[in-house]
Amino acid sequence: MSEPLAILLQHGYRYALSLAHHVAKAEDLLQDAWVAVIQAGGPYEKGYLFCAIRSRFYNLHKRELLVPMEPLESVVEPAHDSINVNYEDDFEDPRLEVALSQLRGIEREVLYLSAVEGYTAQEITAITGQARGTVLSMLNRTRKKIQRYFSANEVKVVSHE
Amino acid sequence: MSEQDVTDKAVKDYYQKKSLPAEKLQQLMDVAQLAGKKPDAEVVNWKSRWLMQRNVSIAASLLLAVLVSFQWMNVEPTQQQLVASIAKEIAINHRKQFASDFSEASYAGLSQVMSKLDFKLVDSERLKSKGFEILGGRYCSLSGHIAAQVRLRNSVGEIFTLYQTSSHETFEALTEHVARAKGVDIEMWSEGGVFLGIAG
Repeated sequence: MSEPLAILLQHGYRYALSLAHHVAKAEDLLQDAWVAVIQAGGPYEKGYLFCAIRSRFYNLHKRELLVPMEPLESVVEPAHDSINVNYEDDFEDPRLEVALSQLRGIEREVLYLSAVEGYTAQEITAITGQARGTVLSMLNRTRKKIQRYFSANEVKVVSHE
Repeated sequence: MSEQDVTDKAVKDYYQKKSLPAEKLQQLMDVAQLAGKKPDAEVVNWKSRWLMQRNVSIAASLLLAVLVSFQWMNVEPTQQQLVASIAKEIAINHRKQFASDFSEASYAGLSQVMSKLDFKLVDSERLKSKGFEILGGRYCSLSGHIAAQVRLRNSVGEIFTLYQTSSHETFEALTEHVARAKGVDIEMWSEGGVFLGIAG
């Protein structure tokens, strides 16, 4: 087995998982995209595979695109100055999985591209077609959503007071 | 570690623990193989890319060599022909040993009397150390350009003729040359915007 191709496929799978947040759907997305890449004769590159996965995901979920975006200004962030995440501990998978499941596909996608793939906001803009400002605010809001989820469930939350 | 970093690290850990099942991965690799793509397509791509770059480099080098050869073939013979032509002209003038029309004993004096020259005669640095005595000068031509022939005599009484003409574009391409034409040794060079040739 060729490691570069295997690694490429694993990256593709994780990206598909970030979009669909469903194992079977992610596998199907990857398979469809992979066949398309092969039929096109490559290139066998992450950017190209991601693009193929993304277009298939949003073709299957066009209805999601019709949902109007919620402007950041309209979102009232609850005050959580008094609580902080205990940075010494890591999040545990089951809880994070629930938190991620409550996010929209685009939010998980942007977070995945930033936190896992290490893409810059500008690069994410190129991949997702979102404005840079939207990407940055979405990243900020998504992180806060996850942090709020843990805070609301009183998990690993410590007070500095 | 900031709140943002902790969240990002948790998300990264979460996704990195996820992986495509081995059988599914193998299945996708097999699909690639069935479609005629080698499993190591990535490696092959790099290899073919490297081979292509190497071939392009070789082709570019060959093309450059051909161009340089053509340039040499075009320029070098022309310059050689020009050198031979001027040397021959100088040798003919030298062998005629015409008497001087102006009997000045200095370059400055010759420049004054040879008013048709479109340049000023130079007292060559190269010849100063050789102790030539100026016997006189006359007009002549080199490659169709007006020139001065200056008769010189060295310390043992041998006669030399020096030719000076303005460095027209005909002579600009010429650097220093030593030639022999019609049994005469000729040295050519440029100095102070003037082309010089001495025969003896």
